[in-house]
Amino acid sequence: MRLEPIKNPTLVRKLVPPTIALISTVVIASFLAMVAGAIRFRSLE
Amino acid sequence: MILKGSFGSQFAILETLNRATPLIFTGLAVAVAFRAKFWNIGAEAQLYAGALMTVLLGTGVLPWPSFAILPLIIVASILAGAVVLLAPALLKIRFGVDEVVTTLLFNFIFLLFISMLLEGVLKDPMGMGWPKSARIIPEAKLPRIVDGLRLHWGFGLAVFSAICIWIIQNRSTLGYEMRAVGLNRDAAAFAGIPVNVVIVKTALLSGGLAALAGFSEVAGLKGSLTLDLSPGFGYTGIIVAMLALLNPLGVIVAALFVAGIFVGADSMSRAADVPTYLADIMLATALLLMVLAIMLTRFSVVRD
Repeated sequence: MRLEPIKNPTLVRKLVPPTIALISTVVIASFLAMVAGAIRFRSLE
Repeated sequence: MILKGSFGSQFAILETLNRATPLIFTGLAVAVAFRAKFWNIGAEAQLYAGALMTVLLGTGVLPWPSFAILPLIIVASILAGAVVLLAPALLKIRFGVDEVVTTLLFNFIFLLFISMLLEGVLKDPMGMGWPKSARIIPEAKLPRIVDGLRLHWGFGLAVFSAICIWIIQNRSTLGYEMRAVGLNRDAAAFAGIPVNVVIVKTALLSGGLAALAGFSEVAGLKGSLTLDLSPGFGYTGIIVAMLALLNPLGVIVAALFVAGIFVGADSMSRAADVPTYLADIMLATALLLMVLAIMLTRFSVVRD
């Protein structure tokens, strides 16, 4: 496998990977918080 | 829970905006420098240079009214930060010294210099022995945006700076030259752009922006200079700039995102017994994934 530069990236190409990165961050952080012992709705009790 | 902690109440929103203020400045400093491929890792040192100048001029040496002393301190802080970054820039263009090394090491040198001052000539005689400077006079403090709340005009200055930098980068000759130098230094030189001059100008602009973070923290929030003035705002500015894809207006959004994580993690730590270090893990994850995402916007993976 190798990387090839994209000459004229489309708007979708520019926006989708950063959006996925941010969503993945939130998912990973939520998982880590639960592993660390967070009770999701404790503050609402 | 993090969202609720960072944006769930008026107090939480104002705390997030306060925390975002220095991050906008350091994020802009990094974004400006990285755009020209000048790798400024020393925003922390430049931040303390701005804070030092604020304390030097703001503790009563000049008993001037606010409208006179605040602009003077702002200009002096910008100059201080610019001078701190000038040395690595000159070392780079004169001797080819890698600015990553010089700016990074300068952080430690400057922090030790500040420590020496706070244990010596700048030490507050009324500070109960703590290594902190005297408090700045009320005239040198940034006014609050709303009376009775902690949010100060440093935030307004940060947003204004971001707009100015966007205009410089997209609507001025200097911005065009900075982008050209960043894209291809050799091609820029071939096209007649004075590459070394552009690097020095970029460094001065970047250093001045980072110094404003120190100014806003001292004049807007803390009121005095201490060694723990910045919990790594200079380094976090790199994450902010990368998340913003080096876009000055994106820096505002990215700084709010990062500040929200920090403030929200503090709140979550109290509410759900989770360590606040989770915020650092989140930011590191965000940075790594964003670097990968940036790569995927410019390159495609091809199977041989």
